[in-house]
Amino acid sequence: MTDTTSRRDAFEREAIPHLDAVYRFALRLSGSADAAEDLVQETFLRAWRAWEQFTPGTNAKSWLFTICRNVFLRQQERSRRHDDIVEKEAPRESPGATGDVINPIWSQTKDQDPEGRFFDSIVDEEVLRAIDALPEEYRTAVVLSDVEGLPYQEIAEMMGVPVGTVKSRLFRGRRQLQKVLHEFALEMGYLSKRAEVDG
Amino acid sequence: MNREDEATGRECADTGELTCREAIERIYEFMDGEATDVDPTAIAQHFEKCAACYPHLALEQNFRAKVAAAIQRQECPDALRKRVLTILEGE
Repeated sequence: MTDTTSRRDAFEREAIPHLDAVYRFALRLSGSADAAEDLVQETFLRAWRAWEQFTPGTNAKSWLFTICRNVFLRQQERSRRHDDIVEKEAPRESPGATGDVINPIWSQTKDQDPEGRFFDSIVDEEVLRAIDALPEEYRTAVVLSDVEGLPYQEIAEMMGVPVGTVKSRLFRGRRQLQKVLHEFALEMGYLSKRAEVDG
Repeated sequence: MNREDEATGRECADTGELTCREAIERIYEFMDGEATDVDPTAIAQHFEKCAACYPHLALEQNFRAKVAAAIQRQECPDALRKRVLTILEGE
């Protein structure tokens, strides 16, 4: 087997199976199908060129996500310089800060829907819209943890922050998303707006 | 034996090893497979046995299932897959 063939075989075995995951991540980062396609292509092109830098046995998916996010952030940086568009940024965060222990959504729905079944009534498009409205730092953490199941340590390395910051981004991102979806459920009448009586 | 716990403000079954507050404080770490300072089995047992805490876990699980389903429904289009594979031909 030639070197070129084994390089290609390894890439097809280790990287290509993550195409769907990278595409899903790119969609949430960029917010549009066209931009996501460009982002995925650029990600795999860079990964293929830099394949020798990948350490066999480590998580190729995390490596691809890292490349994808770096490409995206650099594009953002460029367009920001050109158009003076400032993306909504996450508020200042202190690592490990977690706020209230009890989920406020639970406190508000405990009498009519304590297990949060209302989430399932919400159409996927609305959920995606709510995710896309999160600041990038929260969105990335939530997608990588809740959907892709990456460990805190890998997300921390990807984002270049301590594990405590990943935890607080996840906490805030999840709570913010839940708040938006809860408000949507109230508007749509999946939950009734009647005043809650403490019981 | 029951006791009132400050986390839920409700009567809660004493599951022996963890209080409600201790379990609920670790709900995300537990779900993420990242509980480190407390044995995850003890957290799981608390949520199984404590009727006051179980809904908290169920709510977070229902939320996560919805987020994951909405995102995972989207797959890489075939045309893009083909374009990516041609990268390997070109270089």
